[in-house]
Amino acid sequence: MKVVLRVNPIKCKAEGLCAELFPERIQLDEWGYPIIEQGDIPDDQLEHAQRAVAECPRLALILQDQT
Amino acid sequence: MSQPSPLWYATRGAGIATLMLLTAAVVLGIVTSVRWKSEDWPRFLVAALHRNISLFVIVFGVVHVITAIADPITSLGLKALVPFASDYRPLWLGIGVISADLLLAIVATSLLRDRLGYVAWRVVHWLTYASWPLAMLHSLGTGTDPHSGWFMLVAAGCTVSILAALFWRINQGLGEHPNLRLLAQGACAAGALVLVVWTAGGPLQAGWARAAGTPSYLLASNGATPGSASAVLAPGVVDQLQGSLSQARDGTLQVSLSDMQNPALQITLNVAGQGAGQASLTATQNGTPICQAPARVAVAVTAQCGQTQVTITLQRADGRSNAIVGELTTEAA
Amino acid sequence: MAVVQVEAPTLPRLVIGTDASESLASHRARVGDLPQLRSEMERWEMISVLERSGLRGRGGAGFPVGTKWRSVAVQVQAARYGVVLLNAAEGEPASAKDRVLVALRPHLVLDGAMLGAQAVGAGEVIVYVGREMTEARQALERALRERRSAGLKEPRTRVVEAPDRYVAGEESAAVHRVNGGDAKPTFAPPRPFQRGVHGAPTLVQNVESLAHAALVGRFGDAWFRSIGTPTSPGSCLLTVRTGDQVRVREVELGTRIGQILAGLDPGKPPRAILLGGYFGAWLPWPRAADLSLEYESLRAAGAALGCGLVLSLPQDRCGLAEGARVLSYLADETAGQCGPCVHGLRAMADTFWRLAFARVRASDVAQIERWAQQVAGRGACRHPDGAVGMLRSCLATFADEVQEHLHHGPCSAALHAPAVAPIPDGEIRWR
Repeated sequence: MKVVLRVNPIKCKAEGLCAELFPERIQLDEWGYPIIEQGDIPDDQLEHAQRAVAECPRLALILQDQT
Repeated sequence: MSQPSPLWYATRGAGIATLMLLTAAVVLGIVTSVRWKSEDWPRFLVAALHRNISLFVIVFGVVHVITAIADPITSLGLKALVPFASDYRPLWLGIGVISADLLLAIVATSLLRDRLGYVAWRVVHWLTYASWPLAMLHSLGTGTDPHSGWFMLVAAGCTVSILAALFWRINQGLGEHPNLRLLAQGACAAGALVLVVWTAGGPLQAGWARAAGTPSYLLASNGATPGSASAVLAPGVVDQLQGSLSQARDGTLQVSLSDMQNPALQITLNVAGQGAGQASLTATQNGTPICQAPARVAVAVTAQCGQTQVTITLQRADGRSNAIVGELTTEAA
Repeated sequence: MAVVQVEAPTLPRLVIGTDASESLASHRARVGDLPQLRSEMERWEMISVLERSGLRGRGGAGFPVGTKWRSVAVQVQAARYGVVLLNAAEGEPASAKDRVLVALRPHLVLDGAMLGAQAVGAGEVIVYVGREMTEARQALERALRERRSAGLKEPRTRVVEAPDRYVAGEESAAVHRVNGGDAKPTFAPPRPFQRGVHGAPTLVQNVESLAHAALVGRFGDAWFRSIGTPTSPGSCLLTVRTGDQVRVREVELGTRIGQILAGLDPGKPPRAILLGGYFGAWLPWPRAADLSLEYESLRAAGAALGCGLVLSLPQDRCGLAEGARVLSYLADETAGQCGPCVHGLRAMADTFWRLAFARVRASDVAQIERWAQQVAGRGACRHPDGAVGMLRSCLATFADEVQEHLHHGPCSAALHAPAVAPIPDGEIRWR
């Protein structure tokens, strides 16, 4: 299963929990908004990605199936 | 029957725990919304702690409700779950019900947030700000512990925490508008002051229990000033009673009696019209009530005043009039 | 009804030199009736004709029209309902071609929408036109009334006003406005061709694209390809701005840019041009003169046809000043929805403004580039990407001026010469 992590930039309000929970793929820019490294999420990181998606207070993150 | 059951203690304990946990949850919620973080406290930690403590609030809240309903003394029944429908201090209990309903609403909407969307969730979540003052009013108005110092400490601690957190939140949210900020902070401080003044003038005053709507048959064990009943109605009394019988408009029978040996002592018996054996006894000393208790009518009338078992035997003075004579005996319960 | 014998148009195909909006009768006399697609086969065949024609969108993205119609048609087949949105919002302040085309030839444009509706199976047409474009809107409303009284059997059509905002013409913003919201872009997926107006698959198409399609539908793909180049067939409308003059011109694709501007300002070649729109590219002269207006060679030069703007910068003006004004405008025109765009464009615009009109250090210029990298691709729409593209081309084309400004401060042209690129200044409304 190929999964990609995307942020909805309209919903995102720079709360920043995602970068705390998934620093392997998410950095914050100087204004606090997430920069998500592109590419499929490997299986061993999927749990962290899912947690970031679940904890976003604005529900701005999505895991998209690319299969 | 006037001995409090373990459930009574359990409900009070759970209630106070709920109040403290709710305070912690609201404060953590505010910490989340001001986006505070530190080296040791990432945002996801504060957010998760807020969420988990809120779930504990529900757990203890449920324990509080179940033990309160199950407690035989207050005989609340399930109708107490309907706001303002209980027999016991309906207003103050009802306020607690509403507070609990708000919390249930936010838990439900949080679990369904994916389906409902962010905006709907946010609206309900905002309403939970109201659940804290409602819970505080409920505990002061319904609870039986306002007099005790430790509860006052807890209540004060909770209020101060909430006030501090609110000030922080308002500072952050209205930083650019000093006038609005002062207005909002002033309103919060005023609210806290009103709470203090109301508590001093309301729940802390004698007579609050009755004014709040405690059913009369419970007032002997927790409302009346202790000691006075035992002085006049000490065990070992054997007095003659004299009085009259009347029937009220709603069918209840009333027997008004005076103690011949202690004329200041007046006893009134109210018997429900159906004659099911349920009655209530009121004893006054110089007009001041010293006992109000449910009474059982069988061969004699029995009631418990404080630690004294009261027995009254009655008979008509003569066949034709409403005159009644009787005898009052007391013994240790 | 008498059979009207029409001849396939030669150039100009679109902007026939009338200056009053064409009536239905003269439109029919000029180009004949719109073909009716009666069977499914005819509908798919028309889509193939559009694909073979090589017609590409003229709203800015340049997406192949036939391909777009096919995607929508497939979605409509599954959804059982579809909508065509005729996009005449033209939020680009320097561009005038869409409103002029609509004012001159409303029936041709509406024909394109109706043809598209038939081809994709749409049951409804929305005319999305800028609130400020009085002439264009009146022409469209008059044309719609004419068509109704002529008894044309066409899908239900209504007019929706677009606010005067840069991003109001973006396809998801258009859909959002029609659905009752602000004219602000929305997050994709879904794209309008999947779910748009009323949640139905929606074909959002620029008016010029629809006008070309209306002619392709009548005269065929071979006719369309008879001018232009094999990879960039047909003609296109340009808004050519030289000095105070604004001209809407139809040119054959493949024409050299030098030829387009020839004779317009005799004796004085420009310093540079801004091609494509405010989201387009600054190109230096005389290198730009030799570029031909076709997709591949423009792309190789780091530019694109965009919405057909050709803005000429005179020799005595400062390209950095113009770029700074445009970038500041673009920063003001964000929908305010996406953090990186709102903050990034404002940061870049402020520093670029100081580069043009005040004093900055070389490190500030490097910072602009860092911001540009941070911002591109991180919005819900392509607005930040367009702004970044314009900015980068400006810094590259006017590299000498950058050095001048860094070492000696703003040039006198920046400080004193009036602006070339028009920057509107209206109240901010999103509906």
